[in-house]
Amino acid sequence: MPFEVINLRKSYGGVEVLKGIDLKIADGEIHALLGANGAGKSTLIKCIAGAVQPDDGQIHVGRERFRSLTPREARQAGITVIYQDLSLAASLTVADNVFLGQELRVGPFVRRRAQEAETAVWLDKLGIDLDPSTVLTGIGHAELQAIEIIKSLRTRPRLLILDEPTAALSEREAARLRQHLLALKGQDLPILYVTHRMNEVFELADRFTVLRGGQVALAGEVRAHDREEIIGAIVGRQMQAATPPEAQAGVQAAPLLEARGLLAGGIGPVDLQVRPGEILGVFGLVGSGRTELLEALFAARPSYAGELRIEGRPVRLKGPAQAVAAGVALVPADRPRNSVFASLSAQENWSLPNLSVLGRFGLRRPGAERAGFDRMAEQLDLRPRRADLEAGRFSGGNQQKLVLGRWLDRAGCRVLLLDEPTQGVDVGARRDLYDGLERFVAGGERAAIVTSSEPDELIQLAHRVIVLAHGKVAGELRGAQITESNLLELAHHSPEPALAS
Amino acid sequence: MSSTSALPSASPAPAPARLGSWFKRLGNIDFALNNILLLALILLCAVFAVQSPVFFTWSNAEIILTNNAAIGVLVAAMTLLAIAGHVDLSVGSNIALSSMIAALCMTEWECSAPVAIAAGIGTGALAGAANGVMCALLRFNPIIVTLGMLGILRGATLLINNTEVYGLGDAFNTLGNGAFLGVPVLLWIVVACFAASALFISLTTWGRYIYAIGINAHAAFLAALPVRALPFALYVITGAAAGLAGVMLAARVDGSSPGSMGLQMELQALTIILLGGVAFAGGRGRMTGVIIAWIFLGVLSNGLTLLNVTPFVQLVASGLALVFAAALDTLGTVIAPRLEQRRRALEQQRAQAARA
Repeated sequence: MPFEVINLRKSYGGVEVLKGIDLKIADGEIHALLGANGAGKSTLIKCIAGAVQPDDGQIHVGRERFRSLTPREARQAGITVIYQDLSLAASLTVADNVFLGQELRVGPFVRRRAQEAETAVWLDKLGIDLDPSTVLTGIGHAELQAIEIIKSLRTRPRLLILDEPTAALSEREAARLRQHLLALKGQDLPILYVTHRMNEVFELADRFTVLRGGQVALAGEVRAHDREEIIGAIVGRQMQAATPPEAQAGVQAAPLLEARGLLAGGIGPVDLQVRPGEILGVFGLVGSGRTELLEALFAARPSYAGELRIEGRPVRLKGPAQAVAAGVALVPADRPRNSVFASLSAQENWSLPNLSVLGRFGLRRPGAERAGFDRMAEQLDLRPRRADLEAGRFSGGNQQKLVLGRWLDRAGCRVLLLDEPTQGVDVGARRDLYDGLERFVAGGERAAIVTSSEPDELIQLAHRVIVLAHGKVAGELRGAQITESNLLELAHHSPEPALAS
Repeated sequence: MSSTSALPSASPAPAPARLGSWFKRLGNIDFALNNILLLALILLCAVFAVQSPVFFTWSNAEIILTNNAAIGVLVAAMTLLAIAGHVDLSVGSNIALSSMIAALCMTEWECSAPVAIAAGIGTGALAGAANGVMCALLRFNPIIVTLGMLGILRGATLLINNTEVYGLGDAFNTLGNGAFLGVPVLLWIVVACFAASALFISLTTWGRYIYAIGINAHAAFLAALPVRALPFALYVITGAAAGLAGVMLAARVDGSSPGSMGLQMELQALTIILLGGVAFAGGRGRMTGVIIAWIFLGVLSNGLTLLNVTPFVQLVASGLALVFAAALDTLGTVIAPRLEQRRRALEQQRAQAARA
């Protein structure tokens, strides 16, 4: 029962996201779906899974033909999507999880033995060496993914979509999961496999499709293409959107912040340095360790080895408070969870980390707080310019101004770490944030490290970019070398172990 | 300018008149939440005043406040802890232990009164520090740890001395039943404690940190706020307040009984704090609300006594107050934000319709 998508089109408010996609997957075929962020992969999957209705085109599942699907119809047609975040109950056994909600029963009693027998057969098919009565706590991520897949296989799907199943896995776990996935080919089932890892394409997939800008950029047999061709198709022609900023005068000076052999959960060892007057970009795919790197530099995440130097002096930071005292500050990603206190006022959100500096003997000085807030609001063009309004009522961009503004004027703050600073920020506010950041480093005495998943942002902002892949530095680009294709190529061309096959 | 006004903005800023009425309505839900208890207090006073001729007198008011001075001192400190998102359920047993230590200082160990008072407060602070080490520094679950401490401290009190102690001397009698400038000493103390706590919240930098930590401890950590040291200090302060409350109770009744002193006062304190509008999860609350709740519960038990209602009914009433406080908590943390969200969505829709 093959699966086919013919001339699928989808527009959001006049912008065409899918411009006529054709995709065909045979039974027993693993079909890799590739493409950079924003290429249309997730929209395509949403159309197939029924979460989004396409404007035009057809979806064929076996003999059934659909113009569009609702989530319910998709489920009934046998389309199953397995996302990165699993829906397993950690305190139950493997068999319990496989049969969760669909238990084999005699009256009110669960036929535990029968469930375990059937689970054992499935585990054996995928080559997983696990007892069905094992509790999930302590089982590796690769096996958890496989259990999730078994759970869906039991419902006899007619198309299995795996959405980046290895993105959150370590290299060794990913290799283990690939072994299990290879065994899936025996199921005679079309499988659509979304991934960013090139070696998986060659190891697992029979055929592939590369999306770029909502179109099929390249498709065909994996055997007939080499790595360069496929990466070339993902990256496309070079973008000339923005010119990199001029190198600053202080860039030749001694490094302001330097890390050597930094090792922490999810990253390392990493070497990096940033010089006064410099904006250092950090690029990487999801799961490459961008956030982990910044948190380790800020001492919000314990580092296990390595050395950190500020202005050449080795420092041992034991937490964010010491990092701030040493002149390092962080603007975290994920505002609602990590930085904005939605129910506190704008002024309080801005002033919280600065209260001790603004106050005297532990007593607050409302006048100084208000003056500081007004100065920040003026500089970053906060809208609406209201100190008493709850932060939760500001737009994403203006909330980010409150967080960034905490550190821009702070005396003694030398290195600013920004994690995805323009996530969920509209275009107008972006400009204000960039201006604020550029003013921050302009004097040639301070520096910033900015992570982003958008190449354009780093091309505009950064003097130098390091590219992370799997927690390690895959390469460094400076000046005119910072192009979208170079960034994406380094991010994909990661130091990966030799193929297992 | 025209391009920015076309962008969807999270803060609706259409015609000024509409904005004004919007804020007025927003004020109403907060207003209702903050004043529902004040309204109930006035109603309660009116009912009792009609039923009992002695209720509405200055001396009765003085009695109500003085009888509840100890719990007031405790609540003044514990409110800070609750706003920071922590809780101390061991305070009732802590009161028993501290009052016993203070009482033994006077009767057995022949200390002077100031030393006995300091020993009582110090004992409470030490117990609070033990809670703080576990809950704030080592991040054990506060509810479980302090429930454990509830048993430990009560047991320790009975181990130290399992009989009642009486006759604490003149100094304690003055403290418990004397007056200064015509106002009972205990009342001076509790007013000072509430004032100190309210000023701490509004005037010091740590007062703001308490809210931030209670709302989102992780974000506070990433903003380099003292997410361990401050809650630890609050546990110590709460413990010291329990110690002071123990001393005050011992002075009031001129003795201490290891089994019944401070019994269930952790529940009373929690009832007052939650009734006063402090969120159990932390991050929201005002000292004025807590003070009103403190008076409310005092009036309730005083009025029921004056009306000769049996103590068992009073127990039911205080239990009902705690359940009612849970309802208030949900109203504040779940329902009010939801209503506000709905209002905001409707407002935006209306603004869009007006533009079209």
